[in-house]
Amino acid sequence: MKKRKSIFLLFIMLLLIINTLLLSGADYGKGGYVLSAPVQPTTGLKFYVDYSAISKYGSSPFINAAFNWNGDYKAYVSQVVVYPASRPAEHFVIEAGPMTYNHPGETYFYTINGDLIDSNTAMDSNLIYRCSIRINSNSSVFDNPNVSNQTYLIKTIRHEIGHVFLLKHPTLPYRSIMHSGAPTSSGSVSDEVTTMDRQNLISKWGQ
Amino acid sequence: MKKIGLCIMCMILMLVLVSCKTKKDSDMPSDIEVVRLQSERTYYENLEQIEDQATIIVKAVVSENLGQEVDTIYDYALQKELPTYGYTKWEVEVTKVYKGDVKVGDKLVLLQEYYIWTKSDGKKQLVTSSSVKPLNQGEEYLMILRYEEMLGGYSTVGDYQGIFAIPTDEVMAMIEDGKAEKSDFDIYYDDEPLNYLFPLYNEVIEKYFK
Repeated sequence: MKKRKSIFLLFIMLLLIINTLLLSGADYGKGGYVLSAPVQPTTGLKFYVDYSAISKYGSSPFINAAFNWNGDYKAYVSQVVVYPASRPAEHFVIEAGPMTYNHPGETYFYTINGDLIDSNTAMDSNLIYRCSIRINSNSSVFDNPNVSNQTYLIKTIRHEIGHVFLLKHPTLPYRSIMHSGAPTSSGSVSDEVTTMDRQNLISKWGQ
Repeated sequence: MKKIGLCIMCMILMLVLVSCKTKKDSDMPSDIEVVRLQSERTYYENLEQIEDQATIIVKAVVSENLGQEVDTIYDYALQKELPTYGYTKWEVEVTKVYKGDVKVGDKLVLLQEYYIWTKSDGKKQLVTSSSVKPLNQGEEYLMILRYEEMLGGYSTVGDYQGIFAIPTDEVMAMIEDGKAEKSDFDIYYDDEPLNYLFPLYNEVIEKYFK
């Protein structure tokens, strides 16, 4: 009787794990980049942080945020060049500019013609040729009673780079950098790239 | 014969009056492509937090489109300006004040985070960072607003958490019965769950619409 109960519990646990894995699969885009796109996650993302961002926040938050994504898998950040160094031949721009308090940061996807694409459409199709990231230049947006201004800023940059890897906002409350909002020490919003984020990256781009 | 003519005249007049009451943005084709942007958002847990963040809380009528501001970055490979962040400025006229240093009749600048962009093929697209559809000219809304010094206007606190259409009796009844769904609120886009909206909607109804 006890053995049966244990088997039943194991079966339920297995189902729950499979369910979680399947659902987490919905948290990244089904699509990808145009084959001819010169910058892609599997050949290494190259970012150029321009004057607007460097003059506002310095270089370290951007470098710190970008390389936190790297690990033992195919998709990675290969280069972060900051102003005043010259731009790499091919790159995605990270800039800072005014936005309302509602938006700490934003990611843009473009076609080969330079047309903006709806983010969900972009992530689920193979139309992306270019990306760019904008961080709010109003630094008080990152003021929060629970975390330091700098932690929230770095979280935002990491989050936006996650979108460039085609990760979406998670549908389940597991701990992830890809949830919107200020990070918390115990809730679902992380300030670091988590195991689940890396798992999504592997599921999306390969080990 | 005269009576029929009078009736037709009355009907035409009524149609004109109804169409004048709320007007969509005239530059915007009804079948325009909508581009929703992937943005990091700030939301609030409850109405108290939203009200604390607000510079003013008012009911106001959307009176005039004051144009749009769009930022671009230059792409060296594509050799063209690519659009990034932008917003449309609306003039709104205050009809009731709940909080803040404004009075009835004041005209304010409301920033709505969307803009119209012309693509490489000449077609137009509506690019938006907001979950709220472009406002209707002539319509009244409850607005929980924060002043944006860097942008020179007001934005709604927490995006969709800071703007509410005046509910019809039908919507009020559905909310009270707990049967309201997002599709019942025409001012929001319906392709995301708006998890932070429903928990505070009842509070808003109690406080501002009863």
